[in-house]
Amino acid sequence: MPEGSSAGNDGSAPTLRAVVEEFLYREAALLDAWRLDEWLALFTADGKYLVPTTDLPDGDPRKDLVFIDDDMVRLRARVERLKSRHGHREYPSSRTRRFISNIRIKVEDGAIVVTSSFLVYRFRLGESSPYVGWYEHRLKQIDGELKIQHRKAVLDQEALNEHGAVSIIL
Amino acid sequence: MPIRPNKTYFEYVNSLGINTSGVQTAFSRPALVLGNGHAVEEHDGIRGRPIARWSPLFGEENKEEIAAIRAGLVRKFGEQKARHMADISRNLLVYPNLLIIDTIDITVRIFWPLAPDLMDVTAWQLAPREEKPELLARRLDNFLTFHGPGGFATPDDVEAIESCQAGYKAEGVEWSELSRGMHREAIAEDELQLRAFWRQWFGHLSGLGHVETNDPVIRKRAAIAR
Repeated sequence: MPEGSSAGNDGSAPTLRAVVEEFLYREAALLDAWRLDEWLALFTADGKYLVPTTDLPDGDPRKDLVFIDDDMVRLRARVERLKSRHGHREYPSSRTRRFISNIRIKVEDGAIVVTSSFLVYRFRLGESSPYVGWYEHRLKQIDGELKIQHRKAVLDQEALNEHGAVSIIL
Repeated sequence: MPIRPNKTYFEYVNSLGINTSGVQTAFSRPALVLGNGHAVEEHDGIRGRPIARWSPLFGEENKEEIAAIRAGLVRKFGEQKARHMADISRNLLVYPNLLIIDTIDITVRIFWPLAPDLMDVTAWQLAPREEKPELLARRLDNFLTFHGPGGFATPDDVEAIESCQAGYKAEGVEWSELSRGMHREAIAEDELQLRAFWRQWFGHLSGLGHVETNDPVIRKRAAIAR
């Protein structure tokens, strides 16, 4: 069981919804605490992290320009960068707070596909605006633990005006 | 200790087993002012160019395709011009607010200053319509490592600009220092393009109209030649 047990009050096995919700909340807590190495460990070895552009939310990174299309090599480098004092956009680090809601779960070909709404506030040097959008998490059960195989963060904003970058992990 | 720009980008590229040491000397070519505030700097495209200079960043699978494109350029334009097109990277400023960044990708940027502390920047990525899907995918992927709001370099450059802007608010300093390379034949890493822009911008705002945008050393040589 992950921390913050999601078992039913009567001791019965937790529902899939309870497990998935707990997973998403734990992920959000790790990111807000900048515990990025622990966050990386949530991914499968072939994990992917995608952020399409604001003008093309359905963008396919093979043929469209996106903001972020990381495999695990680049995602690890991104985390190293975020921890480095040479990643100037995030040094000193932003304060962030993630709110996740409207969680919907589908099971498809052995994968658990979860969509949710997010509101990620970012505060830094006088800036205080949110990223608003939705996540799609494609989760896999590996050795009794949920792992992220594909994580997509789609922004609802029309442009990045307030932030000028996607410098945090969304 | 000097701060090396875009350090985390180079660390990532080096971690892929790609040698970028040549970047240190790539920026020694002359920079050019083109008049009316326009300017261009050219440098050795050591990090690879999708038009026709292969780099490990474009993948082994595209080596042949890029060689074929290059051979096509040589046939069409001759060796010298083809080399200039394929091997040399450039940053072109079309005064006042259009930038063509023709380097590891081709990025077109426009910027609109809206207020003293607010500027809109919009960027596009150019690719040939007929480009092979594998090469297009690599081109886009390569863009993401450096450029764009989620890249490993552009957000830090934006941070630098915004930090300077915050510093100017202190109003203690009268001048913004852009004199690098002013007293020699300016090379790519100098600040000639910035001077060309600001001189012409000053000319327009102060009602002088067109102004001479060359550095003193260039002007002096031109005067002797006359």
